[in-house]
Amino acid sequence: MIVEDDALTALVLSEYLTAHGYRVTVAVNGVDGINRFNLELPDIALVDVLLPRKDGFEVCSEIKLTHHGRFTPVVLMSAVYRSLEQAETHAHRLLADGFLVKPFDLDLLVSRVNALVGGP
Amino acid sequence: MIRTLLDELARLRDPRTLRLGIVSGYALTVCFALLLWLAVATDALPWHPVFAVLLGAKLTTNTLALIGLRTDRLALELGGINVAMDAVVMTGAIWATGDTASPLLAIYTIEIMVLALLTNLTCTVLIGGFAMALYVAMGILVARGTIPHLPPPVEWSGRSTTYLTTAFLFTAFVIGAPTFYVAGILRRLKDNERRLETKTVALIEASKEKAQFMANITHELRTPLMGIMGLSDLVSKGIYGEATTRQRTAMGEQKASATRLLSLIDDLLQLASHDAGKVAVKREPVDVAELLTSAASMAQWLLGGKQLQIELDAESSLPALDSDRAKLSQIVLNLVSNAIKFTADGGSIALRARAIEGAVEIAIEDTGVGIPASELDRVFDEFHQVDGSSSREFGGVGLGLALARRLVEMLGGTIGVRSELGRGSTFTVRMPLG
Repeated sequence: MIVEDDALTALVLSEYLTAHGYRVTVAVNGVDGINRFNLELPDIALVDVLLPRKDGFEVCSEIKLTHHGRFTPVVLMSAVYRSLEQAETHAHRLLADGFLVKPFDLDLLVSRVNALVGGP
Repeated sequence: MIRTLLDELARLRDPRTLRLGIVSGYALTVCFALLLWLAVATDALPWHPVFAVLLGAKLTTNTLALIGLRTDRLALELGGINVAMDAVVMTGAIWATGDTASPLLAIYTIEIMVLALLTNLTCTVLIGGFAMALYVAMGILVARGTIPHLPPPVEWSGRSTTYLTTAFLFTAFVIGAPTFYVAGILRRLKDNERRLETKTVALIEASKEKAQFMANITHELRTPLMGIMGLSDLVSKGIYGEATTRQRTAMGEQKASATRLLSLIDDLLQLASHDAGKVAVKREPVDVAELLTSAASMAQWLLGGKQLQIELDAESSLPALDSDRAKLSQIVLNLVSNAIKFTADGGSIALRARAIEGAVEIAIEDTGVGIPASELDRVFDEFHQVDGSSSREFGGVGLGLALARRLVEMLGGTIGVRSELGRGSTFTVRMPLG
């Protein structure tokens, strides 16, 4: 599952992951993201940080509080953090399983996702 | 002991305090002259020439102190004499109004209060002791008949209401006037404090807003780039069907442009956040040789097809720096990418490091176009480029070196440049060991 409000980014990510054999669902804001997560129980959630209605940090911690979410990897994505280190510290505190600083390499994304869910 | 006392007193050399002392000296002299005139006019006090002498003496030392302050010569010394003269004049006034039977004893309170307010404990105690000694000496001299006893304006007879009323009113005056004055100062201080508090809150608010604004700008500028770069990748990686060579080249160009835009945005944002002063320096031991090695390998990547020789020459026994690795690495990379930009195919770039007295010197040397001598001290200015004309050969907006200098200064180092037109330039960064 991708939670991303920037339509172009959401398109690029989902197309690339689809091309690598994943089934992708896209939510466009934080509330939509949590609803969709509970409905579709995805294997991994890629969550943008700056989202309308509920930000990525909230989405991440709410997902982690659900029964299914406890064991689901969540990767946060943001354009705001300049240093990876800073972002990773923050993500770690939020129990997120990874952090990608936008713009990131699409192959890096796929390798991260593969590592977290063991492939499509 | 004496030295400490003198040091304490020397600390009073503050023009504002001295001026306040002089102004209050004039004010009090005028007050007492009026009081004296009232007492003599109502026949409460017989006129005695000593009053004129006392007022004259006070006005003289006060004026001397003022001149000292104005001309900035012996200001503290003349101020001290002025304060000592206060005690003398007050003792004189007490003597002239019936010495030990004078209802004016409380007059000393003024001096002690003003000193306690404007100066420090040492000065207050010294002058207080001096006044007390004068008072005792005056009492003894009168008792021995050395100086005459003058009649007090009101007689102390054990049950005299006139005496008590006079003494009480006088005490109320000498305590009330300075207290009123002090209350005014306190009120002003309180107002200042309140204003400062409001200002601080506003400043904190503003800096929070600025941080939020920076975060928003970062997001807004970088987010579309993700889409642009991602789409180029989708096409060139063949997700939308096998791409032709021309399509792949076009997408590569597009992605390279987006990358350049990204690094420009990052430079600008970093410069802006430096201005906001919120960039933290994270010190750790830094191995300069290792840092240059990784910079050299990144330089290969920065070449972008240019045919340049990259040399690495770092002393093997360099001491570790206590510095910020990420920032140092950015400094070196900015200098390297600057060197790459201004060096034509076939040239070379060297990354050198050596230990010098108390510092490590990193030098980035190129065989590029060089910098005219007249421009050498301006190359680190923001948005400055040696060739600023629209037809210029080299791209960029002139932020890389400016940023490098800012970072170097932030880490407590120095940066310099040597250059020979047409032969090349050497940028030298010196970082202190710790």
